[in-house]
Amino acid sequence: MVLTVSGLSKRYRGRWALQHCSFELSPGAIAALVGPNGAGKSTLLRILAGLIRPDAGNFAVTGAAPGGTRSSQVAYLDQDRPLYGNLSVSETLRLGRAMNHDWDQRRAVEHLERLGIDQHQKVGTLSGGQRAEVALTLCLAKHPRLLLLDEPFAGLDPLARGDLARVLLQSVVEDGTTVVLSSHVVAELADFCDHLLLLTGGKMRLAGEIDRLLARHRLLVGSVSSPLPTRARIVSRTASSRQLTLLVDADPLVCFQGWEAAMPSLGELIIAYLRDAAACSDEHRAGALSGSAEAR
Amino acid sequence: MTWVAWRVHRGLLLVVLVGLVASCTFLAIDAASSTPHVLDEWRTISYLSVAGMLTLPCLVGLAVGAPLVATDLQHATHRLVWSQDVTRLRWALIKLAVGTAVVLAPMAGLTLLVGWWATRVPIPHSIVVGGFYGRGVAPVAFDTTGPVIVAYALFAFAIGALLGAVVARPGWAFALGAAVVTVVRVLVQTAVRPHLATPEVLSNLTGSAPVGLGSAWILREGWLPTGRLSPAAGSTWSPFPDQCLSATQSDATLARCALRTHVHFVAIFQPASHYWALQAGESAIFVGASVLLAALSVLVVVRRSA
Repeated sequence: MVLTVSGLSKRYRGRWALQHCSFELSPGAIAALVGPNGAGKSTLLRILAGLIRPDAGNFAVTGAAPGGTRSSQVAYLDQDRPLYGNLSVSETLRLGRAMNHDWDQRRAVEHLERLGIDQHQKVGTLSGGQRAEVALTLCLAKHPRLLLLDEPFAGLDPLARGDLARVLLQSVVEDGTTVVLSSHVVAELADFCDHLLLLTGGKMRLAGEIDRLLARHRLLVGSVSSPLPTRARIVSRTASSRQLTLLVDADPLVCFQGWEAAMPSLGELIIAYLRDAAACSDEHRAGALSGSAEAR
Repeated sequence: MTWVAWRVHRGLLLVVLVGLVASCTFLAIDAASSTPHVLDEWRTISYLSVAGMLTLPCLVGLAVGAPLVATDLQHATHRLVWSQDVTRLRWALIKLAVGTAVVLAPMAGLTLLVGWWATRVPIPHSIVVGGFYGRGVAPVAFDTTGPVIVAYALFAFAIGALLGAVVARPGWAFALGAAVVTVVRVLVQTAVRPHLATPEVLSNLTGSAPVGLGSAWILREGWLPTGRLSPAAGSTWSPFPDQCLSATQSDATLARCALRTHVHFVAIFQPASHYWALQAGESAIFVGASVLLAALSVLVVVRRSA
């Protein structure tokens, strides 16, 4: 395992931003961190990046690179892509070189050349997409074992999104990098993510390989009058005038009589859990209990 | 990493450096030129330099200190630099070191140059009195000369860095810092500086200060009952012996009256010879406070949630 997280918790002003989060990621895993706004995605990534101290729990990044130290294994891309606007692109690379043990200048330069970004340009004059690329270059030139990306697709046009996905995959192949990326865009995750981390209200609802998670769930379609399945946990239900759609968490071998069963897509799975969380938080609110908290 | 600290704050640091170097150049040219100033020019130069030396340490210190951590927090670039391999401790220490160098070297140079300039140029006597050129121990003269200038600047720098790390806004850190530095300087001047060296006591029957006391810093003076060097409980320093209002024709008549009514004139003061003792004591206080504040700002940086 590259990343082992156990019982991570963080509280802000009496509210849990993150509560008992545990999961593991193996080398080369690309994990999609999904959840509604304020679910604790950014909090989790910032804790893993060493920016925030957790209130409880711990995490370990293992498998030290030869000669490397603990911190040089993690690279973090903030959702705001903070860079110094008055530095040129090449000065920004020099900053990265000065502040890291392992720095691959050639890789950084080649990456930027391939994207056609002029190194003499001030970072402040770059477009949003170019800025994101420079910020990502800073991460990749460190050859990180663990790459944490907070909303890397936000603000990128479809072409740039494709490029980014390709670069990430290349890094995974070359370095065996493990990637955790948070995103709102569910559709694009299925293409290249193999792990899913689903956070709602600061709690980890689902964590694991996408294939296994999908195999564990069933999408059931039946009439509103059919008896509800008893040997499965119902995650969400949507009713129209005649038909009832359920997403259930059940043993793959269980048969559901009177229901039309199918394996859900990743999108359907995520939506079902988000819907479930929204319903839960409504109930919580009614009971004057709140589980969710702001990420910042 | 030193390059990073310098590069990120280059614009501001250059403005501060250029300003200080320009002031130094002006003083050097002025000291070297042979044409003497007329009295009005002297008055302007005197006020300007006094005002400059009173406020510059605070302004320069805060200008460098307040943005040191605060601009990163304001623009969220702290999430960039704090997620690199360089530890926050090292990052904070190097930034403080670069800032200290930018404050320390030019302020020390300026202080030395102003001292030298004041000895080189023929300053009219009417301006020397009450001005800062005499290396006096009295307020204004004392805190516009000597090493305390540099100590004040370092203190303002450390206050600015700490407040910046806490409030995360350079402007607010500057404004708050200016208020704090002013209050602390006034408090130290009134409550601490008089005790940094044992004051001397003068007592006579005529109420006239001897020659040479003019450059001293009079802490208390007035008429007291004979034998006392401080007022009895419930009474105060009397500016004049009320019983002798009719005996002011000469020192001799006043002395006779004072002797008869059992009062004497007492002055408690820091003589000009205590200049270096007071400078050393006050510099030590402000430098010590600066070190503590800098350590505190490092602690804030290391423990801060990002």
